[in-house]
This record gives sequence, C-alpha cells and structure tokens, in this order.
Amino acid sequence: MVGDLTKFLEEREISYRRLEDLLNRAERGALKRFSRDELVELGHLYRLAAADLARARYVLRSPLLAEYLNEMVGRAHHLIHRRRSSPLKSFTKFIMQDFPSAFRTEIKPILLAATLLLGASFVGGIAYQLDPEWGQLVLRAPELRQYSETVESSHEELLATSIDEEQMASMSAYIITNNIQVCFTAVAGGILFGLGTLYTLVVNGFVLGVIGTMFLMSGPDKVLYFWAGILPHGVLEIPAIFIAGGTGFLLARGLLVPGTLSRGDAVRREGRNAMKLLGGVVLILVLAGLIEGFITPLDETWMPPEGKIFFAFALFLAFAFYLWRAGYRPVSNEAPEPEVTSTTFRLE
Amino acid sequence: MATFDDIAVLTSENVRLNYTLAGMGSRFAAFMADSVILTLLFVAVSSLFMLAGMSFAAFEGMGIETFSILQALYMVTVAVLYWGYYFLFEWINWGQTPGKQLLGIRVSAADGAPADMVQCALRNVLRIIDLILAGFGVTFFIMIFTPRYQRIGDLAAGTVVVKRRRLVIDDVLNAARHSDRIAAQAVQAATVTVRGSGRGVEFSEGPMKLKIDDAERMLIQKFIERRESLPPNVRKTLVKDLARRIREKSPGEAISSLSDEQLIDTAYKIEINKDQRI
Repeated sequence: MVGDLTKFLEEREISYRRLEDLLNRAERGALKRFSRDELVELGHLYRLAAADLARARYVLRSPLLAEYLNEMVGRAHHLIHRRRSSPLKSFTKFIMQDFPSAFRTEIKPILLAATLLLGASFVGGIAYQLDPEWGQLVLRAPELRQYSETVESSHEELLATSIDEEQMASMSAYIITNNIQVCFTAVAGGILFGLGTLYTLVVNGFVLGVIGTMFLMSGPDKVLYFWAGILPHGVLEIPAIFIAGGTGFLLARGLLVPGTLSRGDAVRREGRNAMKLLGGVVLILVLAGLIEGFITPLDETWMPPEGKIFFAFALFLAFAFYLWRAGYRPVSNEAPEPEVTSTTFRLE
Repeated sequence: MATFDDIAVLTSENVRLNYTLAGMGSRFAAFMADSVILTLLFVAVSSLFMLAGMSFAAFEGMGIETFSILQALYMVTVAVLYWGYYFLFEWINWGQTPGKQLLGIRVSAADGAPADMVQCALRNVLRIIDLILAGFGVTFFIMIFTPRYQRIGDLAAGTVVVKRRRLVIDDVLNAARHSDRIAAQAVQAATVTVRGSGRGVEFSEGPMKLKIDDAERMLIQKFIERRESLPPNVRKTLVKDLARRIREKSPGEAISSLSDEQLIDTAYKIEINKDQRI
C-alpha cells in the first residue's frame, strides 16, 4: 500500500534515532564510557538495523532507506569488530617487539641497501682520491646540493666552525627533518620497481664517500675530530638510511617477485612490514637528530673527542643488541591469529 | 541495485554492505581543497612564528638561543604538517581529511572498514610518488585503469576512496512522506485519465497489466525519490527513457493513453500495492 514505507519508518523512528546517537557518541571516542546497558543496546540495534537493511532492499524496495541503513550498519559493524589497544601499550610493543622483529625478518633487503650505499661511497672515495677537484665539483652540482646537505648535513661547517651551543635546537630540528625527507623518499621510491630507492642510495652513498675522503685526506690531526664529529649520531643515522633503503626494496620485492601471490597482494603484504620499519626509521632519526644537535657539537671542555668516540661505540653496541634481541622469541608454537573473515567482491 | 561503481562487502554476520566509489572529480576536488587548507595552515603557522619572534625581540631583546628554539619549533611544526596532515586526519578522523569531508568522501579499507594506521601511513608515504607521476599524467591513467580508481598509494595499501553520504532518519522519513503524497496525486490523475478515455479501466485491478522486473522496479523507486531534486531537462530525459522501457514490455491501449510521467506513477502505485508486505 502507499504509505507502508512511511508507516514502517514511523515505527522504527525511535530505534533509529537512538542508534544514530549511540554511533555518533561512540565514534567521538565515548565507546569506552558506555555502560553495560548501552553496549547491549548497541548490539540489539545493530542487529535490528542489519535485518531492516535486507527488508529495505528486498521488501520495501527503498534505495534511500537502504542507503541510510547501509551506512549505519557499516559504522556499527566497524565499531563492534575493530581491534584497537591503548596507544601507549601499542607504542611500547612497537618499540620492544614489532620494529626489531620486522628488522630481523627483512634483514636481506636491508643488507642489500647497505651494500649499495657503502659501495657507492667507496666509489665516491676512490673518485675523490683520483681527482679531488672533480670530487668537489660533483658536490657543487645543483642536483646534488640537497643531498650533500642532507646526507652529511654540512659536516664541513660543523667541523670548521663548530656550531654555537645556542643554535643546537634549530640545527637538530633541521637535521631531523632533512633526514626524514631522504628516508621517506627512499621508501616511496621502492614502488617504482626499486629504481627510486636505488637512485637515492647511490647518490647519497657517493656524496658520503666524497665528503668522508675529503676529511680523511685533510690531515692526520683532523682525523680524530672527523670521527668524533660524525660517529655519535652516525651510528644511528647511517643504519636508519640502510633500513629505509631496505624498506623501499621490500615494496619493490612485492612488485618484482610476488611469488604465489598477485602483485597487488604481495605489495600489500610487504607494505605491512615496510610501514613498521618506516616507523622505526623515523624514531631512530629523531634520536640521531637530538644527538647530532646536542651531543656532537659539545666542545672539548664538555666532552673530549675520545669521549665522543667512546659514546658512539657504546651506543652502537646497544643499538645492535636491541635490533638483534629485542622481542626475540626462540620458537613460536602459537598458531597465527585468525584474520577477521570479511570477504570482498565486486559487483559488475 | 549494484551499479558499476559499487563495491559490496560481506561482513562476518553475512550482512552485505554496499559502498559507492568516489569519482575522480570529487577526489581531485578534495585534493585541491586540502592543498588550499594546507597552504593556509602554512601561512598561519609562519606568521604566528614570525609574530612570536618579533614580539620576543621587541620586549626583551631576543638572544640567539631563543631564536634557535623558535626556529626549531617552526621546522618541526612544518614537517609535522607536511608529512602528517593526510596521515593523521585519515587515521584519526575515520578516513577523512577536511577536504574529503567537504566533498563527502572517505578513505576506507577494501573491506569497507576505516583504513587502519598502517594503511594510512603507506598510502600517504606513497603520495610523493603519485604526485611526481601526476606531473606526467601517469597517476590519472593508473586511476582510470584500475577497477576501483586506486592510485599507487591505494593499490599498495589496499584502500579505496568511497562516497559517504550522511543521512539521518529525517531525510528518509521526509522522502517517504513526499513520495506518498506524489503517489496519491498520481493515482488520482491516472484514474481520471483512464476513465476519461471512456473505457472505465481500473488500473488497480486486473486490466492494467504491467510487466516490470527488478531492474525497472529499482529505477522507478529511485526516480520517484529523486525526481524533485533533478534539473528539469534531466528529469524529462529520465522520464522518457523509463516510460519507454515500461511501454516496450507492457503494450496496451490503457497504458498508451497515459502520459510518460503518469505511467511511471501508476507503475509505482501498482508495484507498491502488489507486494509490499513486511
């Protein structure tokens, strides 16, 4: 009959309004404060709306009502089924387990990135030794200026004039943001079949080699200062670039060697670990930037170069141990957590 | 029910949810809106820091240390804005940046759920690549040729961008009451027309046989709900097409005496009478 839909809606009006209200509140973060009764009510109303969705489609034949209920049922479904632990807990778990175990799982691409970067820096070093003028010319090339600045973040100035203590904060912020930029580019470049990553690693490695050799060749008295000026943060920064490069190759591996999966699925699977690694890279770079801004530039009265080298050595050992052992489980007999079974298909 | 741009998701309770993919146009518009907002934010942040610096300098004479800390804060804020805007909004605000909110679209996982943190991170790290490639037009080709209009970041993260229309119960109720009124008027009008042709046909009974299948039923229903909001020329075209579909399947004099729109209203009335049971 004409008016059946209206009658139906008038009957349901109170329930639907209540569900709208509960959903709005829950999505604004009030779900945790729901009383027991309210949670039960949400469950009831969810099932009611889901049943009505079928009615709206096949009995009442009202696309508008179906659209309305579709949205509500979807929202309720995600509230009921989502897994979200407390941010602090998941952050601790990320640092103590997720990141180091992702590192161990994906050690191969990370080693590949390390090899490439070190190889390129070796070539850069040789090139500079063969022809210093050419090496310096390379550094001044406009395309490389940003790289020579970012990779070694103007150690030239750092050694020549040692920054004033007052400028430490801004220096540190500059270094962090620049390194993050380089690392993000290296990761994102992986989706271009790894070519973007390759480019970033090779260019950065080359510049690193040229700058390094330049300092090492500048005189034996400066060698100690060179290492003291580079190692305290370098022991974190260089591995961070390795990891970022490895992360880029991870995405590339999904594209190039998908195995039994489709290319899309392979990239999505690698993407999970890739984002864990990238999160770790950001944290390491923040730490390295703080060290670079606040510890590296300390003058001799505060910390002699030997002290800095010792600090760097200790930091490196701690960092390596962390990556090697944190969250390590010898044999896991646990069955993998079952995925929530939602199937997706496309209607044509 | 499902149109070309719908994706359907079967939840674990066996409820089927439909989502409509957002078009390239609204996605690009949302991107432009976000770009404008980001630019405004940059300007606001920059002038705020400049103002802070100037007032420091004016009141106490700023030391290089204060300046350095201010500079550091500025750089960190800008970096967080640049790298974090899309990621944070999409992660925390149920898949919507302000621009997407404006255009009524949201990011969602392929299963319709809000995209999780990892997915938001991945699709937005890869934004740089999509932007660079967009300069050569590649991104648009990729979006056109992937079945769900995904850019590279979406493909890697397994996300889609869907429309989100926030309806409230009042919208549905008002539409239902409105179509009731129209149906009632149409019934009257149709009755008069049919009676006026001198054959005394009562369409609610047997003689007016309409053969309508599910597809047409949906079209009619949707048309009735939408028609007041349509521009006149669109409405005219739709009425013509729809009426032709009905006439082709159900020939007959009684039907041919109705105008196109009356025919649709009549069909709506008959269909609703026939099987509306709850």
